[in-house]
Amino acid sequence: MQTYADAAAAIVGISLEAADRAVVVAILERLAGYAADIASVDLPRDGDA
Amino acid sequence: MAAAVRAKRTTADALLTEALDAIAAHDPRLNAFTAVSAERARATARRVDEAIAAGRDPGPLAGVPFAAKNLFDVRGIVTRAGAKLTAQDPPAEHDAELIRRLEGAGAVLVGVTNMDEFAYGFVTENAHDGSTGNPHDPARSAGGSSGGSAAAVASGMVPLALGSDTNGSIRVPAALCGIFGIRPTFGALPLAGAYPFVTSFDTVGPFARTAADLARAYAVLAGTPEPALDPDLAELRIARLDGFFADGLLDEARSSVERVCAALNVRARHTLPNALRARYAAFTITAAEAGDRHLAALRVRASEFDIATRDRLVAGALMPAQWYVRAQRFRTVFDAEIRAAFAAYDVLLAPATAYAAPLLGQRTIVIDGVETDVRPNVGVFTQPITLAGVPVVTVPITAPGTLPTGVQLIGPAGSEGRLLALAAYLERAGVAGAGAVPVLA
Repeated sequence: MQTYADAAAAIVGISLEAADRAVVVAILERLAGYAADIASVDLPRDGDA
Repeated sequence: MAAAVRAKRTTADALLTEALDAIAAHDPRLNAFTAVSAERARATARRVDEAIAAGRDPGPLAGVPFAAKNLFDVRGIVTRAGAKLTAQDPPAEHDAELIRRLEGAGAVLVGVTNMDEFAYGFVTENAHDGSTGNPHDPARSAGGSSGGSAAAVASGMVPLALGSDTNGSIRVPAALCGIFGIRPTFGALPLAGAYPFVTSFDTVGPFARTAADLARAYAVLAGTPEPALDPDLAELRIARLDGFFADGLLDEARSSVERVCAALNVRARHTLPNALRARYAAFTITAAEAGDRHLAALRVRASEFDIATRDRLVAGALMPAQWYVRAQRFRTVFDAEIRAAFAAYDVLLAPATAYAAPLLGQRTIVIDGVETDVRPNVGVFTQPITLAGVPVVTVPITAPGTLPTGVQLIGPAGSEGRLLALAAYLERAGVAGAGAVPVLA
């Protein structure tokens, strides 16, 4: 996740030096866990709703 | 209060003087207000009194002093939204639509209130403006992010205040400060002139010390007739939310729900199987949309953010789009669960928070033997409901010598009147209520 955070920050133009890198990475890891859990649900395809 | 003004038993100016005196006496201890607009308030009160003297009706909120969270535009005041980044912005040129509606009904704006930076928090511990203390114990949090508004009402400085609720920012401080608050149906009240946080979830609404005052204020804000506050409870199908909403809470929160259930003779329980995922989705959508909103400032002025806000915004701005899109698609799944619940029941009950007000600065709390972070979990029971966009009234459960908690009365879209009536019933029954204004030592 550290590698991803560094790459994403460079792409969007944010300096992680101006933030707490460890906290940002921890939040991204938490969000990744949430995303994986949500992906375990049979989500509707476009148009299903 | 408004009735007394309209009947000439008092004046708007006298009520304003009482409010300004109370602010002078209590706000140094609570830090609820970030700006007091006494001059404007005097002019507004004078117009109300002049209308009455001339035989005109100033409206259903004649002379009622109120406060607004400092994310509502107030002409002549900078809309800071709790941020240092906005401090040098020009003052607002116009009032937000809800300010206009309240003053159009005779209410008198007295000032703007403290909040978590950009509304991203549940504790109103603001690095720039300081923390807002809870009127029941100023060493404790007022909740957030509309904590200044809630504390202003709970302490008796004003009888009415405006807040915003994206993930629980009205429901949480209402509960922790022991007052009534309503998160309306998503889209029911206009956001014009309110600083945005999360477009998918933002709502705005009032706090008050009684259900009747809340109902009157809501009717003014929505432009609807005041709801009848005498529901036929025999017709209401009410269930207590089980599962996710019954775990991970302390006794004070659990017993509050049980008191309400006992008063309403509620035996049914209902489980929303995806409630935890709804919280995950709300958290994800919040981070992504808020991060994107503040991306330009994060690039060049990151050091000016509150640290408590900054790193979550940065993470949100870096999030892969796929996570956000999946969270949005999940809403269809949760909406179906909510629709099924409201096919069976008219009202669902849930705790507003898992515990009473934590101490300011408190990092962790032990629940069921597990040490848990305080800040991210204050809104654990409000955040899932956010995803569905349905209305919720928080009713306060108070008792002398204890800290308040709150119970969420949750209904289907458009059921605000029914929820307000149920809140009024619980207040009449002596189960819910703000109780006496706490005495600040």
